[in-house]
Amino acid sequence: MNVLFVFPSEREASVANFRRAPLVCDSGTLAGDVVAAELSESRPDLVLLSGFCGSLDPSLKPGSLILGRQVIAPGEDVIDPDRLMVEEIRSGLRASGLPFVYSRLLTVPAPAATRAAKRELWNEFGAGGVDMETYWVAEACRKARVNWIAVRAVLDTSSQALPRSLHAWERPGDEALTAAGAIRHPAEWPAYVRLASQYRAARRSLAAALPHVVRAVRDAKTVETLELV
Amino acid sequence: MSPGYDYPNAPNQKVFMQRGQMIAKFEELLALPDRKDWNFIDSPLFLDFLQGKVAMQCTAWGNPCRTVMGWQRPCYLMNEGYVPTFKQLMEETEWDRYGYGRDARCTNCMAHCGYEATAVEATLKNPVHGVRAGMAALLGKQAS
Repeated sequence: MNVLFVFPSEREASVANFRRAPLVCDSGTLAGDVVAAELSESRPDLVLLSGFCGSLDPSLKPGSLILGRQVIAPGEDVIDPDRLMVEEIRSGLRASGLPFVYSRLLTVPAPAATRAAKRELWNEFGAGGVDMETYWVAEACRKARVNWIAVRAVLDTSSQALPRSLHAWERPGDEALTAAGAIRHPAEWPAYVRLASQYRAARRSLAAALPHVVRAVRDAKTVETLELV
Repeated sequence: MSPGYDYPNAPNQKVFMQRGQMIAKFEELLALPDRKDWNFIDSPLFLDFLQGKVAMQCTAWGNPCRTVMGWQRPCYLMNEGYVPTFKQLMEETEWDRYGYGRDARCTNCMAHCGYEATAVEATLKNPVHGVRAGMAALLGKQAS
């Protein structure tokens, strides 16, 4: 099976070694454009989007894994991944013993930065995780009639406010600007230290999960290969 | 006190509220002037949850349901079969698969059987919530 691995940033793409270089899609609607452009040139059997996310589900901790049950964005319709494929991956992850949840993902245009914002999004959308790419990538896949799945690792929790200098973050290229803002505000440093520790947990989880996801994809019984009983 | 669960087999589906409507209704109810005269046996945190002030995930195993058929999984509102022992219920049920955002049947469920258990667990972990719940129990009123 030909799988296209997609990550929002080089940093997230570096969690594992891939035989073929993964696609870095950036954030926001641009992520959809990047994937759509790639799908117009190649024809993978599956797009596997992975990376970090914020948690809206209060039961999730840094490093918790979320296998996308479906994805939604404000004002948009829900998009479901291929049920058969996602069930295969769910079974594979469960067999691996890695803790994960099978939940909805929400895609928003800006970081969900405060506890109140996260609570509001949780009450309205009931999504376990929040990110800035999944919906647009899923939409590009839907238009190209290519299956997709999303596996995310929680970076920041629902009870955690992000440092103020991160609130305006829009895309991976903003990291230098964010760092400059953080340097000017020492009061935010403890929050960044905490995030750095959580980043390591999220990275470890993703690195542990991806081989199992890949194995499950490889072993998946697609509709064409299912034997008739 | 608990909002109802939207049983999919109920003949009249129009009587059930959506999650947003439930939150708005409880906000309205618990802001009434008579509120100070009402005593609830619910934990203060669960009442906060009903008003959308606190985010919670369901603890589906928090109030296990035992029937003549055995232990019902995953909770008493949804039925995915029975197991003969409590150990099997706890160890063989995929608990992470159930809850708000995880199962479509849980979308409009804010029932006490799953969320009061979460509230109790959070109350025991956090001294502030613990003191608040203790005061509510001793004084017979819910601290706001």
